[in-house]
Amino acid sequence: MHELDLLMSGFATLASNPLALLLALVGVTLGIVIGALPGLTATMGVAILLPFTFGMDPVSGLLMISGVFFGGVYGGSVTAILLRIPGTPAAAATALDGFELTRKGMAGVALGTATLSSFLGGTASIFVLIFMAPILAGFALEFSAPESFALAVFGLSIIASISGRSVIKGLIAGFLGLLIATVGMDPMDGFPRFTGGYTELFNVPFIPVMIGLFAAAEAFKTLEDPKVRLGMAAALGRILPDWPTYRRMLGTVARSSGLGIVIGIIPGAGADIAAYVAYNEAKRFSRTPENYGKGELAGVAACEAGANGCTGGALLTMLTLGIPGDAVTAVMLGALTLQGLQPGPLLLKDHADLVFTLFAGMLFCYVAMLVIGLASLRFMGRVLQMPKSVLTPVILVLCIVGTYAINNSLFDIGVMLAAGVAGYFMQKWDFPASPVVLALIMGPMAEANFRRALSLSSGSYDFLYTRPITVVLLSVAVLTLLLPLVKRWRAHRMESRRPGATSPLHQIK
Amino acid sequence: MSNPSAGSERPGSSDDAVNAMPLTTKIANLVISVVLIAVAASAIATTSDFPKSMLAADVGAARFPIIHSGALILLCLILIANTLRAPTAPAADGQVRVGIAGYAGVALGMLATAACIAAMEHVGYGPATAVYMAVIMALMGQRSPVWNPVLAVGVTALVYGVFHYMLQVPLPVGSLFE
Amino acid sequence: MKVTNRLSRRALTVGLSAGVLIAGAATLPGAAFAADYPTKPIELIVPYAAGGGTDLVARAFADAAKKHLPQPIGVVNKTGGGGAVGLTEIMAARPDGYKIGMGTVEITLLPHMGVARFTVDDFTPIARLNAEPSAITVKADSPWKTFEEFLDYAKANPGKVRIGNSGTGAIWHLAAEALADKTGTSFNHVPFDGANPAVTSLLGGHIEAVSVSPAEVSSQLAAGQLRMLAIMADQRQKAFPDVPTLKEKGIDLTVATWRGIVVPKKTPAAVVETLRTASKAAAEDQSFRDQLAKMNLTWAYADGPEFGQVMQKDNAFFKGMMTKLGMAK
Repeated sequence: MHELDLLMSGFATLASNPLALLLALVGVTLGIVIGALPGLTATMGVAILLPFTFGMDPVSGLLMISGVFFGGVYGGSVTAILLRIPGTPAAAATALDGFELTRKGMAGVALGTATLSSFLGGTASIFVLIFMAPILAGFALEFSAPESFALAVFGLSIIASISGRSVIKGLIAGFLGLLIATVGMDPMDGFPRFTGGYTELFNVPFIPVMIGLFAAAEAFKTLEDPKVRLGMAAALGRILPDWPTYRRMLGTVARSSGLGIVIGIIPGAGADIAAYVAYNEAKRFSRTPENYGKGELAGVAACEAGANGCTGGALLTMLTLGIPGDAVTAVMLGALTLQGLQPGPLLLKDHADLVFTLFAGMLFCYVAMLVIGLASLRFMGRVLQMPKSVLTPVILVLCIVGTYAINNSLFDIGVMLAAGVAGYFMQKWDFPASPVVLALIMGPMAEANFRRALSLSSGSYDFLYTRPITVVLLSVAVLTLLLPLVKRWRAHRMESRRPGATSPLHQIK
Repeated sequence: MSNPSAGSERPGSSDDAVNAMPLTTKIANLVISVVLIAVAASAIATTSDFPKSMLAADVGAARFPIIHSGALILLCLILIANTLRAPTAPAADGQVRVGIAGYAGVALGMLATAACIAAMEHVGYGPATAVYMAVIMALMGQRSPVWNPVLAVGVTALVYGVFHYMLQVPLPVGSLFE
Repeated sequence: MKVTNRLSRRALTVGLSAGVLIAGAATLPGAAFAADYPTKPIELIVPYAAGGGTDLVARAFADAAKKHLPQPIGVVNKTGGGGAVGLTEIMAARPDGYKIGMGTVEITLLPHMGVARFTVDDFTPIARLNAEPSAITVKADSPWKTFEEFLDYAKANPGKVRIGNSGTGAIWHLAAEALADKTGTSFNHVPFDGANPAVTSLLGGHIEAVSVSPAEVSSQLAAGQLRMLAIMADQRQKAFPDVPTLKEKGIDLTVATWRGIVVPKKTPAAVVETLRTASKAAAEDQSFRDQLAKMNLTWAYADGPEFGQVMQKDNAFFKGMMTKLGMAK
């Protein structure tokens, strides 16, 4: 095992560089904070730190940036679970079940599960990065526009499984999201659509919409009931899930990590897609799919393992091909070049020592994340003990400031507020918010890649059925969309055959 | 996903035709559907102004918005049909609990947020946010003459510190002070 | 009633003219006033996201300028609209020199597409910092070893060669269109969401060529996965001395993106002077040049007037180009 030797010597080098370890800790902590705050993303955190790394040695600088990256992906889950504020788009999936668990008074165990699963998913992805990078590197290049289109369609099909109680309302929310996603510059021609002349709308204000739909809507809702205004919020409960409970989730965590790694490798697909896909597959393979969306611990585990599994996958593509798959790795690529390391096929050959020291450091970062995460959960959980009359205003202020921070734009805060008002009414009348977010992530990806694929094939639609990956993904998408409908139709028929069993109270969907 | 725990006690709000719905849900479904159909229809109308694509093999900027709008209209029509077919159930407790005062609180909160955004443009982050926080806290029942202003100013300053100094995000100064 | 009205109007006129006089007096020692400039930190608006090429140039510049200005420069990213949001903000900023901007080649592109409220004349150029030419790059295992072979194939198979660019109407798309126009060939232009995805697609063999800058393909060139056939610059690049220019091949075409400091049009001359001097010193600072070199970016300092000529020339060229292509509105 050549790699193992290199990794061991990497650990040795790292141990003699306490500054690097300290900076990794700083990075992870900062990443968790940035991830937890709405609006601030890992990309922004990495970009903020970049100038500080100019003067550092490569290992220290890059480990600090990796720490922010990893911590940022994980940190989003904390506020998503506790307060239904997804700090990152990926955490919007975690909020699906995480916040329900908080409502049930199981916030602690949800946070603990999220932390453990993030750690496991992330660590697994780093090991894949270390031992299988050259084998998997080619996979990223298989992905052209048709494959990306199919992946996006698959992602959209997940709407069917996160729609909550009414599939029709879920689909309406999804298509509304798709329509909103077409606002802004058309991906092929650069023609501004539905912008009403506002340059601010040239790009879909995706994160403001997400913050509004989830966090602001939830905050507005707490304003409505006078009785809870002074009351205390939910309790935290125990933090670490007991072993028998977590052991049952290990299969889900393993599957989700694998999915996360694969999706991370694909250029243009990131933690947000991975979290939703992992959630969907966890539900598909679950023996109790009806519990998803009502506070299922395995749902939280799946999202977090998937999202953090992405980190190693994204790094793999960036390091071996010199191609950043998303905005964070793009900035990291810049950081590497600034340190005189040119990512690409030659990096592992020419700078093996340094790269494996980095890998060792990345494993350290994940361990640090686990320790810092678990240690701070009690403290973070305190927010639940805050009176709602203080907590809600603080959440609203964070929504406003976090939204402003994305583009330094007051216009975006207006968008956030509009989405918050819409989200409040959607919640009131059972229109789920998650399909809108999912559509905003996948819609532009689907449209741009469909049209690009058409352009690549000079107008022929053959790409839909001649490319294996595309065919598989599109078939899975159709199955995902249709299976819940078929199941419900069958359950419906069975029930109408059994007279007397039609009591809607016992109907589980 | 919005409220399943409470929802199991509120059986009426599914769209299944066999399920009865409260009148308020029915009205809401119809109103929302009609609004969305109007939005989708106007989106389709707008696409007629979109230019033809410059790329030979492209379907053009209008194709996808038309597909999405069409599907949205279709789904809304299904929802309308389901709603009209469903029998009306007696009003569920879940919605009765929110009284006029509750809705007034929500509306005031939304208005305060809008006012805060408008004010931020002129007076900057600090004053706008501090006053906004105080107002929301007052709305939520935190009306102590000592704690309310202290918390409002304290949180505003803390957020400013975190964003401005730690995260290097400049917050609005306000056109009056620029 | 009438009298008082007239009186008050007269008072108003007097007051107004006094005000004008005072204002005039205030501007008279404007030079002395501007000599104090800057008395507070300067904001540098970057119309693209943090961590991108433009942002990195801006941050490196802000770093280098610390030594040459009494006040620091803070970088603020205002993203959106393919640069339109940030550039509009720079144009509309109060012309006092405390809000300056990182102008990019999009200043000469966006106005013609009907998506911007500004034109090239709304900005006063201070200094160009960086410029990157367009380059035609193909896969290393493709049959084309030279630019001539590539062009011959493209001519023989019109519309067959797929050239990836960073977005329709973006600089690299126009570079490929200009090449097609100058050589009488026709390409299949495929827009991607930025240069990186286009390069990925080229590596995967899904397209035949890209028209992005050498810096954006340098690591794949070094690894021998890609081959650069020609660059659209006046001279060969220092980092790629073996790659010929289009001019050497008898095609008179240079297309480059550039980034530089600009301020709103009405900024007082004294402030512009101060900024020009400081920018020159900062741009020529060795630390700034090193920083750019590390990022594979080409240092291309040009003083205000010279920078302005480049802007005007590009503006005219792209206007003609886009009108021809039917993109101009």
